[in-house]
Amino acid sequence: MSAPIPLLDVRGLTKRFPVKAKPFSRQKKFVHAVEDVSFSVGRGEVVGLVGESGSGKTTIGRTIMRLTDPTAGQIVYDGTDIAHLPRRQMMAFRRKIQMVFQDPFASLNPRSKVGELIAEGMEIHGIGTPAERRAEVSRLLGLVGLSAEAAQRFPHEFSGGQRQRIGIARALAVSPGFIVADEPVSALDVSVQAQVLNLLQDLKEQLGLTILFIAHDLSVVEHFCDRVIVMYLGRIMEIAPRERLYAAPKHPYTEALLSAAPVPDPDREGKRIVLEGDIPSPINPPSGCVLRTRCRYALPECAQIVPPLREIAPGHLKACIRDDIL
Amino acid sequence: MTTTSATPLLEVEGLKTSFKTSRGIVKSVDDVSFVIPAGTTLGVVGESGSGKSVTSLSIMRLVARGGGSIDDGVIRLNKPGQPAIDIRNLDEKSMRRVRGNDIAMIFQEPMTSLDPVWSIGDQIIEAVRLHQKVSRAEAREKAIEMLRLVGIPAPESRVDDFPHQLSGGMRQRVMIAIALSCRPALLIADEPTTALDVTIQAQILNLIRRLQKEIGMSVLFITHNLGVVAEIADRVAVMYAGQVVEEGPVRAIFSAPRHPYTVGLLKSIPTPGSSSNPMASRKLDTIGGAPPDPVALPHGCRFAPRCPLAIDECQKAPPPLFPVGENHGARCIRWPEVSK
Repeated sequence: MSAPIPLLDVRGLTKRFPVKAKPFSRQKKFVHAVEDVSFSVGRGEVVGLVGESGSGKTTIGRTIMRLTDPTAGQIVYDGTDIAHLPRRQMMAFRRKIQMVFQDPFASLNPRSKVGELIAEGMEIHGIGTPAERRAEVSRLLGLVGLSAEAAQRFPHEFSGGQRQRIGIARALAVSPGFIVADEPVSALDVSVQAQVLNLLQDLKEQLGLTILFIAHDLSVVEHFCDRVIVMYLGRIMEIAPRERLYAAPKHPYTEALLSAAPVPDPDREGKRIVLEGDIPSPINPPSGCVLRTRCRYALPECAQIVPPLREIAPGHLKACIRDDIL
Repeated sequence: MTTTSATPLLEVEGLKTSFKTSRGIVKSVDDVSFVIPAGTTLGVVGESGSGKSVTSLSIMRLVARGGGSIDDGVIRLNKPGQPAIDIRNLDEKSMRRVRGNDIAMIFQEPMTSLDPVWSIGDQIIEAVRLHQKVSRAEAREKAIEMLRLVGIPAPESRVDDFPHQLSGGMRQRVMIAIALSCRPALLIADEPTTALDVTIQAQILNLIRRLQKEIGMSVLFITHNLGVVAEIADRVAVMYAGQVVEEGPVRAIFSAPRHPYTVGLLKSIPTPGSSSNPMASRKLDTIGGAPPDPVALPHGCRFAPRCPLAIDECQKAPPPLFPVGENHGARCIRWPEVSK
């Protein structure tokens, strides 16, 4: 039996942003935001995308949404490569792929009522009559744990957690098959964060949602995701099922990232591996392995070749030439 | 009266700070008391609006600009071998000397706290010369030394950089360098690592710990991150709706909390290692409801409307801070029944 076809299959995705050149400079420079990234997300799966600032995780989310155009590579959604689809044809896919933002109201009209905000997507895609849309808004508000009266109120009347519920309702309004959630709980207080995570978990089980969950909080990702992709400076370092990644990381960056995360246990023993220095500039990333300038296991060879992402166990991939560590 | 080594460096007793708003008076900090012994770290945890930042701004006497006033209480700074300083009643000129010299503060957002038109060296030199009588050349040497201490590579050349030339982690380290350049007795750190990545956060926490050992300062560390508190604090104060609802040694707070809010907070964070535990639930425990409206606080226990253990009596009168263990207090009448 062959493996099921993934809902989303990203192959060799690359995104470079041109940097404004200095006058008289002959060299054109680029920010290497995402370099040759390949991964897939199965139907009903929740995949975590973790990494620090500048790792490219948000750019990947935005590229899948086609909010920004990829420089190279394929984004195959349900059998169709949408990476270079013209705007008109892309509209149909916009409905299938929806995004949940860190603060859903930072970019929305504060004068629109919540009901209008949730119905907006349905209107754009011509779903239902106005009456049907109103009924759907009520149903969605109930689904995310808010009362139907919320539709008549304005965004500023809601707390952060409630706003995120509204953002989720808005994303679900067009019945998407795939959700890109970019740091959906990181702006929330811990007790509210737990409520929103539970809501996402419920929705995932009820609606069979497929989610790409972009986050920097490792314990939130461990809790919520089935599989985790670890990124650094635009490249994938490691991909593994969550129980493997957290128990036995195989890439030096994952090891350092996990050891750096603070643990709510004052008695925790365990050495912290501090990555020295700062993340190198993405305009001029290190040759070979991008981590080598901060990696405690780096060898001279690491500067020579870009380590390929290779499978070291079923479903467990890493981009590191050394097999004698970890 | 001079201070002996047994007196805590900072004593806060019955602090009350309020803000006048269009909707009424907000009692942001309402009867808060704690002490910080010399060389130790008190972690203050709480969610948005719990009063943790206003507590620290009150200690710095920086609430007036935001329309707030300190209405009651004592804030006393006891430097070894010197007379105690009554911060609340200090004149503004002396208070300026206390800020920076005795108490320094670092904030969450290093970009907005640094002046974009001055080099980082100039900003450290300014801080040094404001508080110490040294020449400009000497102050520059001190600035370079501080940058080296906080782990900025090549500090001799970096000293002339401007804030925009530095990464977020480096800017936060520069802020710490400015804060520490006067060797304060107390460092107030308000969410200093919240905006930073975990590997940079680990560097900054290591740095604060190392400097604390080297210069023996006390630290008031404000955060909403329970993991960070577990790593850095000796004692922890948990704040809710303007009050300290539980205070105690870090181990006791994490292993034997005695306030239902503390228990709720600890249970609502995902446990690291949950993926290796097949019994772990995919659902997190949550605290129902939302914090009370600050202009209409409940008469009795402020947590009672959300508390799973609440009984009628909880609504009748505000609970005092009960002694529940060694140097451990909780503001809950049902504390003997509370467990994790």
